[in-house]
Amino acid sequence: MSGGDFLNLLKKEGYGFGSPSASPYPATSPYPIDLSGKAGLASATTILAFKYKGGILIAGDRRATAGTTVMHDRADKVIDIDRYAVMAIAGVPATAFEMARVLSHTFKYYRRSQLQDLSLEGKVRALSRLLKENAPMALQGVGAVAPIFAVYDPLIKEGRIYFYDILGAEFEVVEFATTGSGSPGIRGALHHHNKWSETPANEAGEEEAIVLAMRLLETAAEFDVATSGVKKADNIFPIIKTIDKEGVHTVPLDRLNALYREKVSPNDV
Amino acid sequence: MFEEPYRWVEAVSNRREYLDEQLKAGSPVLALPCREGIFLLSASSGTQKVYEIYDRIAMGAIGHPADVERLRNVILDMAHVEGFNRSPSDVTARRLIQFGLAPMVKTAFEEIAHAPFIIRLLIAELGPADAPVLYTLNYDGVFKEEHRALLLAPNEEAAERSAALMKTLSKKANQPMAELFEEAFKAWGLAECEADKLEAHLKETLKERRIEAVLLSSAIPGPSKYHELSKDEIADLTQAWSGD
Repeated sequence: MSGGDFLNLLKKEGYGFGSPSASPYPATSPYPIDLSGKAGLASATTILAFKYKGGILIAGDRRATAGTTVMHDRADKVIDIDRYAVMAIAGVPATAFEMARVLSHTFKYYRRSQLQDLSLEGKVRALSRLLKENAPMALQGVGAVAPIFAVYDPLIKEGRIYFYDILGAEFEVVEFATTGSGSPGIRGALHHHNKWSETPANEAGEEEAIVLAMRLLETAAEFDVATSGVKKADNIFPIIKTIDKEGVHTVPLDRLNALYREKVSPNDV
Repeated sequence: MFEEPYRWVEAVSNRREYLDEQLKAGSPVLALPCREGIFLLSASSGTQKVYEIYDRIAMGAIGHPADVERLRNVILDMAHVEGFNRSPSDVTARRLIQFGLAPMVKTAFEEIAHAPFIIRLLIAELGPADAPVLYTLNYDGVFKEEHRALLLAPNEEAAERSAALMKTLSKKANQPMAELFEEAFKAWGLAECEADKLEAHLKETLKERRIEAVLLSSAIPGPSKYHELSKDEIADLTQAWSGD
């Protein structure tokens, strides 16, 4: 009897999360990485989340880098954790994807074993706990992750956005969160948008919110080599998800494509 | 005490009688392949009888609540560790029963000096290509695979009363659940009472007990295909019996 704690159950089975000696998984990426941590692996990406009229939007670019090398241009950094929660990852993919898998199983195991959903606060703390357990890896420069966690609580009918530092401190934001190497520029842009535009993000409808997210990610890509922009020829668009009272929705590729052509880059042939 | 073969066989036989006696008051659980996937139906007055086990697997149970809970926790742990370590696709009802529950239940049944599990279980799974797969597991560890409508009955008499209707339902697997509900509810009710008392029994069940209705359907968004029908959804389906 594990009391609904999936991580404890895994540990009993010999699994060691965040511990280089105990983990059955390789502590480092198979890709050539800079173990000094100077390559900026923990932040080379752009992810963002903001509240809009219908709920929460959460988005991320598609590029995965190791130092100055582009490893992959179709990475999915915005991951469904359960029906009402999404985690967006900036950091070392091996650790981040593992965290997402542990978290996803943690929530569903709790719901099924305890016959009730884990509370919103419980979900937020579960990610914090994983980051804390991963601190030794993060401090060695090989496993740092700085995620954004967006969750909707159907009981209180409210969505919330949190960002975390690599040691597990959680911060709830009022309007938006951005992390990753491309985030400083769009953080300012989003602040400017919310303060002076006619329609701040939290008053925007779904379509406006999606367009805003794509424009912000294009802006990030303009100034940050570790963030990819849209590649129409290869049909590569950001991953954008929304969370509302119905749950998590992934914006389909054809809708992104149409909105991009119409409202993000209409002059781009 | 049980070292002589005859005494051991006798003890096992006594144990069967004891377990059948313990289970005869249980409320049946019905599993019905339908157009959406698999529909599970039961009624409870206290402890829950239908449970979500994994993304595409549900469990129904008759028996002692503490024993059901022990086995439910075993199968939950197995399913989630396997789903995490390998893949959700590797978590199948057959593996959970054949390599997990059945040997454990059989061992408990045959160890005469220890208490057996007072249970009868039904495991429902949306299998490959969403094909419905159903298993029953008896208190002695015997399990069977089925692909048609199935009733987990407390005893043979109860199963016989529902048999004709269950046979009819088995031939209607391509129909939507809403169209099959009335017959399904009647088949479930016949396992609890004689035909002449059915209408009154169903009305009383709706008043006094909690209807547990679950749909396993690939149409449900997200990885979990388990949907427990809400009170409103059940009220819509049971309108015919809700009047006085």
